[in-house]
Amino acid sequence: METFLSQLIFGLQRGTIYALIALGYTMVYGVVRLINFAYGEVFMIGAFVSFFLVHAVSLPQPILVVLALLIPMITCSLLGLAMDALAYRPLRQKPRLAALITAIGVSFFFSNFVSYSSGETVRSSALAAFIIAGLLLLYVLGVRYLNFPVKATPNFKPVKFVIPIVSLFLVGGIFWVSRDLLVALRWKGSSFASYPVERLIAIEKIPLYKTVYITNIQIMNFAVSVVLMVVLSYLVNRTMTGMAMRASKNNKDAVALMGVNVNRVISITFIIGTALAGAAGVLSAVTYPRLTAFMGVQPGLKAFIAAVLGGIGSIEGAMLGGIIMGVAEQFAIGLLPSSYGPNRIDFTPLADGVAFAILIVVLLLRPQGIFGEPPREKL
Amino acid sequence: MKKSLVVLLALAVVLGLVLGGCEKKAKEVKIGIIAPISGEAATFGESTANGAKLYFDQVNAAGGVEGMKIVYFVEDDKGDPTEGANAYSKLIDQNKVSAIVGTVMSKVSLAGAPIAQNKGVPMISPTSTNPAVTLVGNYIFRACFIDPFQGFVAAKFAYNDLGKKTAAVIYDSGNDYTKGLAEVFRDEFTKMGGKITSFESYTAGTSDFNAQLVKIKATNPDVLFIPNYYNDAGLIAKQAREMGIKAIFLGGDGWDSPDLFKIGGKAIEGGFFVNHFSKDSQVPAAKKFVADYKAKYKKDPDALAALAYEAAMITVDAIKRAKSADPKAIRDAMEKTNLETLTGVVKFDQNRNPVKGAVILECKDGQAVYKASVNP
Amino acid sequence: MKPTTYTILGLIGFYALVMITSTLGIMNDYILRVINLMMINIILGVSLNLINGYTGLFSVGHAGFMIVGGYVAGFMTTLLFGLTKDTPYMEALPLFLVSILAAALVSALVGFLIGLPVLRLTDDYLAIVTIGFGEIIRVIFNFITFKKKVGNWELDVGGPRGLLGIPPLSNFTVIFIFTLFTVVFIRNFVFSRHGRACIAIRENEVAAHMMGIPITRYKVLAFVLGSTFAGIGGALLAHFIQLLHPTMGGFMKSVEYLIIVYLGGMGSISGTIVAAVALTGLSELLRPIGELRMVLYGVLLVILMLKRPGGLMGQREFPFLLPERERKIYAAQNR
Repeated sequence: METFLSQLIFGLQRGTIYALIALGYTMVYGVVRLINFAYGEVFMIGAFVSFFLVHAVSLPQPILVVLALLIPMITCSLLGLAMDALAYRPLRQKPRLAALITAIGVSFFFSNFVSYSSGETVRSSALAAFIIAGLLLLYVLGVRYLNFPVKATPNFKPVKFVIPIVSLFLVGGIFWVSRDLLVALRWKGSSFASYPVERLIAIEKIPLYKTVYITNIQIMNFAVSVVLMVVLSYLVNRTMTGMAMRASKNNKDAVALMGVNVNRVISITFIIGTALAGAAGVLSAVTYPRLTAFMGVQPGLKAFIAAVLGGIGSIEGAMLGGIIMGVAEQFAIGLLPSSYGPNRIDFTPLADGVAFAILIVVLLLRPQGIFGEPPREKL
Repeated sequence: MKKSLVVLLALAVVLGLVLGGCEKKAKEVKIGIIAPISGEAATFGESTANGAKLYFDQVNAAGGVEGMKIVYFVEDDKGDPTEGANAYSKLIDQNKVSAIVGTVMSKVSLAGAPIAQNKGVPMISPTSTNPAVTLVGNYIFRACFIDPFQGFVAAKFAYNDLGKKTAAVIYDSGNDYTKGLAEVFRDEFTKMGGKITSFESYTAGTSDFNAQLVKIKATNPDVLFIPNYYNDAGLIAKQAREMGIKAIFLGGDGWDSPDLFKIGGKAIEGGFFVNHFSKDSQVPAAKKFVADYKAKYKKDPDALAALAYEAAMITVDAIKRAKSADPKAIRDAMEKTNLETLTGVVKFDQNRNPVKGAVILECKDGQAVYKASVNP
Repeated sequence: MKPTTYTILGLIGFYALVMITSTLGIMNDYILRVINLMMINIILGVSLNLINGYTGLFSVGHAGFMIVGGYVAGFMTTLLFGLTKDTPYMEALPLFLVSILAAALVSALVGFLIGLPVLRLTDDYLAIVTIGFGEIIRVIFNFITFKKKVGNWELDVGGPRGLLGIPPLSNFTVIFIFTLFTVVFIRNFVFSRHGRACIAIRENEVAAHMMGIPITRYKVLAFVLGSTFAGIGGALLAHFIQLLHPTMGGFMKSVEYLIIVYLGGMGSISGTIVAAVALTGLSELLRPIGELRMVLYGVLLVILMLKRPGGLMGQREFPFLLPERERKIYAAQNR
């Protein structure tokens, strides 16, 4: 019984993190219909930004906690804005496959860039600035001057690119400069691998039943995700912008005919979505205090599955889907037999496949997910 | 128009590859270093490359070996067997190296070893623990001990020295280093009379080990064997303690890194692990190595850096005794190695695995402190 | 002379050039190695192009098929036939070919099993499901372990240890022939009415259905053919590197093949060939920049999609690949 309860609570912990990421994912996907492969990377950057923050400033705890949540969210929004403007917006009219490939490209860029800059060798800020500038230059030149017969952006206005590029530069710069500062000051070669949770919040265990307990971090995660869910729900269902978002899901052209700037609606969706990813990153870092450059890959994939499970576009669905997936995975590991003797087979690696098994079952039996609307049959 | 573009492209590619050729200079010996500098094992690759480079630079600063300057080439195997094999081929066929220090992961070493063996270039892997690596041929050596030895040492320590009769194991099922160690530990511990209460695995990249730990906790072991790298081990220890698991933690040489304590914090205190050398060892070479590494790379070396340094030492020593840059001569000399390195005296057995002692280190006050020595 | 004659002469010339320069030592083994890998990548790229480019599906699990083929062939040569690197080549060759055949068949079966249920799914879901299948295949191969005798040791083979000791039976000639076979086969398929059907499905599924094209059958066919050739490619790769590891069939590898297809151009075999050559060569050339290589790839991918979403060659082919009729149309269009 104790084991069951423990697994349940840990499953909920896992699920809450998935739910958080799925919240943002489902919103963006509902409006833009794009699997944002780079979403996991935004999640990862949120975690890293909060890492820097916590190391760099020493403020009284309550303020630090709020800041550690807000600043990554803002940074990730900026990042989302940049991503959208630079990589996704020009492809809105193009076949979806192009956008998918671009998303993969963006994902590669971020995860490998962070891997490069957070690696063993401490690199200098000057080099960093040089590399970022070089890549941006490459991008701008590539887009502007590689004139093939088919132009992707018929109205190339340099001005439109200023804000996104500056945002990108800012984010990259903040990242790197803060790292150097920290190395110079008092951090002295500390490791990204360890997130200083204690500076934010002291872990307390609240006993529930015999040895089963729940921690304040788990409660906090859950509380934050519920709050975010409620706020998001309000935003989407009760505000004009939210209405525009919901309308864009169904028919973008009609929305444009109503006088709404669809591009702006999409940008706002992106900003909110990535802010949520950032928040999820912070909370994940607090729960599992280990940061790696590739930590966003798996969660990104699983969050998508969670969103599909709950119904793409549905906020409550994302929450529920995430939690169900977390618990399912936990129990899969808990119940699958692992080998004891020299010849017994260890089935626990199969638990990895649980997420995909869920996806396949959902897609075959009820493609719209738990809260989604039934698909319109074309044939 | 398109055709000419393609032809140009093809030409450029071929030219580029051909022009990678080298100029022959007298009085220098070329050595290749292969490590996973990019990819998932990037941190391990960097420290390995750093360790080897440090030694080669030191030798060059002291005038080279036998009047020859060491020219080293660092190649990235990207953690992938296909790419790694290419790296080996490039070093051997293009750069014409006389010896190779590499690589970290067994699967890549296994892809590259046949090439080295075929072309007759001696290769010494600092950290590949799969026994099959050196079995590829007589040009393949390694600088680390293999699983059967390390697993045995760990099991013996747990059973005899700690006096514990029950143990649980948690390992990474996708990594042959941890899996190998885990299985050997399980077999040896059982042979000695101990009981393995649970044998859990997880897949790489997980940061949530709670599911497996809950299962382990239910079986109440005295010892928890965590034969993984420090990044996982620290986190596992932490989560285990949070859950109330009171077992003593035990690990392998993958624990050796300053990051172990940063990640594991208080949880890892009181843990033990098998290693090649101890930083506070009395061997002066070890102390000097740690100081030099820190001075140059601004952080403490980990086990991989130390092993790469040793591999480099062995290579240069072989060159010295062979008195030439001829690969075959180097290989023959390497076989007869009898060298004082960071850990004591290193000799190779008939499978070109090093015969060297291990130490048991204890995690005390945020440091790895010497506890005991084990000799083969 | 007709373009076909040019092609044949060109191919013979290429083959002769490589064989002569490598035997004489003018071209070192490293470059030969890269050329071999380029050809294997061509096989894999062209097979993926059939699924993604010509039929318009979005399969991101191609490396899984490759690994299935590799493992099947590898198991057969090492465990079933007991071949080693010391077995005389002429003796081993027929058994090698049998293994490749087996690999092709098993991959085809896997392609069939995977293709059937995923038919109804659209791009995005298909992508995720195929990623999932790729991962599941990887997990399955991580499972399978044997004990094998190597020298005087009893070793674990398979699983995370990897499949070891695969005899190096893939040489330039064998790979060249299979690459040729793959390209010719797929090119013929694409320009036949079956290929037309696939292209029709890609362009507009509803219209194709109304024209009487059995969509299910062709989608499955695309999957099966694609996976068969991927399996062949995998078998060749396994016997080239002499080792096979489950991680070689993961998501990252599948994305590499995806890049080759989309870089070259969906629906263009020549494009895939060019892209495979370019990417493999680039991968080696960019070694000096180390980790930044992947960062650069990301940026290049974005730029590529922005400027030229059709890929380098769009849907065009080299003249020598087109059949007579097409060639005339093509020439007329590009006057």
